[in-house]
Amino acid sequence: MKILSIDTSGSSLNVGLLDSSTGLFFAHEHTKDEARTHSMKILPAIQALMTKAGWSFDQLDRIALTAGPGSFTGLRIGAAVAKMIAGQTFAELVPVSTLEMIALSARLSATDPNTTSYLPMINARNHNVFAAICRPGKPLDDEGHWPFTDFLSKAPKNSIFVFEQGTGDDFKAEIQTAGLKFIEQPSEKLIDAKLLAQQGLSAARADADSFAPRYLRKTAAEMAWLKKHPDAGDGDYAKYVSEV
Amino acid sequence: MTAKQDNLILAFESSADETSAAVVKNGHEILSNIVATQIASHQRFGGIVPEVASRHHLEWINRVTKEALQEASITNPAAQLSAVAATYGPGLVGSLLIGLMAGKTFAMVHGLPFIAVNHLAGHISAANFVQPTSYPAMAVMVSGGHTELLWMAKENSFQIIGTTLDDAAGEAFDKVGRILGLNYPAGKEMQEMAAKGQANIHFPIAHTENTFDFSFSGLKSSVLNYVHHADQLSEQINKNDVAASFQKAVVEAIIEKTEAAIQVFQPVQLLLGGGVAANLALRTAIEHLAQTYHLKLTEAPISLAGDNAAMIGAAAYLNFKAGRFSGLDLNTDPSLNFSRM
Ligand SMILES: [Zn+2]
Repeated sequence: MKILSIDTSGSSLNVGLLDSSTGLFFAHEHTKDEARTHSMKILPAIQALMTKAGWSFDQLDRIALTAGPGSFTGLRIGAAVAKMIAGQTFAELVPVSTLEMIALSARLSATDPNTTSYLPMINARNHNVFAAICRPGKPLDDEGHWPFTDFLSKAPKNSIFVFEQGTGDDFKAEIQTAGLKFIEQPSEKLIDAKLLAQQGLSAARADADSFAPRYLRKTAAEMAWLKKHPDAGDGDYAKYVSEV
Repeated sequence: MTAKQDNLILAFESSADETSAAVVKNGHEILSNIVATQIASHQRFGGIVPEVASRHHLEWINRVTKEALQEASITNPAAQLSAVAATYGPGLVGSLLIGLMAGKTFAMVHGLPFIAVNHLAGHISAANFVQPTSYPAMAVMVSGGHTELLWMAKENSFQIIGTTLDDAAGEAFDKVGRILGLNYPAGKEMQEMAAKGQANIHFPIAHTENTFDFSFSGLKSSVLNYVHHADQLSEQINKNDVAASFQKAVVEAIIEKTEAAIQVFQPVQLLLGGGVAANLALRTAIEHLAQTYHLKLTEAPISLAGDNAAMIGAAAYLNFKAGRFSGLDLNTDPSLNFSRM
């Protein structure tokens, strides 16, 4: 299977091409200035890798995409690209949780045999986090947008937090007080493009045309509106947009 | 494969709250123009919420793309299309991103050249669906986001003669609509109310340093003061009269500046475009002005006055002819504008 992996959920641009039958893998090489430039860098990166591999877009079988949570704008850039490629070729869109990829990528380099579960975490400001409990080989637990303290109270014994370097300073003291450990990953190591492509082999496919990222958080305007309109349901997006 | 007889461009527009894809032939014929509007969503909040707009765009982009291709009978984009175009500014950055990324990705997948389009050039190019423009021309661009007088010495050349210093004309309609208790967007309802009312209240138009610039925030304030004053005296106001008087003031301001510019710059042709170009009082006044000065006039058809991708396709064709293409690394430019004369 020929798989393109795309992750733009964080500050690094992660793009890779994997041929699962030969094991051939090409990755976009990180540059120092790529944070917050995904909209400019992602397509030239994909095009360069396709040329290097000698593939045409019609040969792609799957696109593995980190579906969220993460930077809302970042998620949309990757999703817009993945949706359009999938919509215009034979490739299937295969979304994977960003948090799961953070956990699995950390496991690649972890050496502690006692670790049973990973707690991938993205700082969502105001002492809130996007986080989940990942026991490798099992479905994610408690994936959501949490006040950090609430999430911490759910952390299993011997679990280890994983977050991007420089984003977890507000939480370190609480983690240590709770007797837990953490791994700080450099941006470019937070999500492994090859592992993402490999996850794409087994993960469930999604309908590319209707796909939306897993933001895990409504906008402030919608939350305020829903408070005033408790009977409005869970905000089914589709019904608010119509063709003219 | 035979040579492409016709120039077919697939265009994307997503700068505000409409997600649109269109196929335009030779810059002046619409083969398809699919527009998905988010108005019902933003009405909940009384105006566009950028993050919500961006989420909607992403959910609809593939769908409008496929429908635009299907309606235009494009089954082999690489062979049938000459280029792909998308709006890259001005507009809301999160909204612009979706159409721009979609357009660039489509171009990459099918190996087609990519053309970046200025949204304002798009509005003006909607005139090309009516008739060819004669030059030098002057464009009057009025919408929810923009109010501009533009000079076009030749095809695909735009310079700002005058612009709004504060609110855009359409924005003023929405704000006064809110004062009168109307839903967002208020332009259409204001026009209906104005037709039933008398323009018997004097709302003054602000003076601007540059004769050709606009200012509508003072006008909005004077409507607000009028309504508050009546409230304090417990007097009933006639909302239709307020709408009629406000609309008259806006139209007069636009016409006054346009007339002054006609006298100085002497164009042979006038163009009217933008969402507010659907306002009948404005259309009538511009028609009268064109007659007075014996100018050719092209008004954007009412159906193409609002945001849509067909107008982006029309503007893209001019770039195509001039050989102006962009790379896949092009970014959005939310505050993109033309330069002043
Ligand atoms: Zn517009």
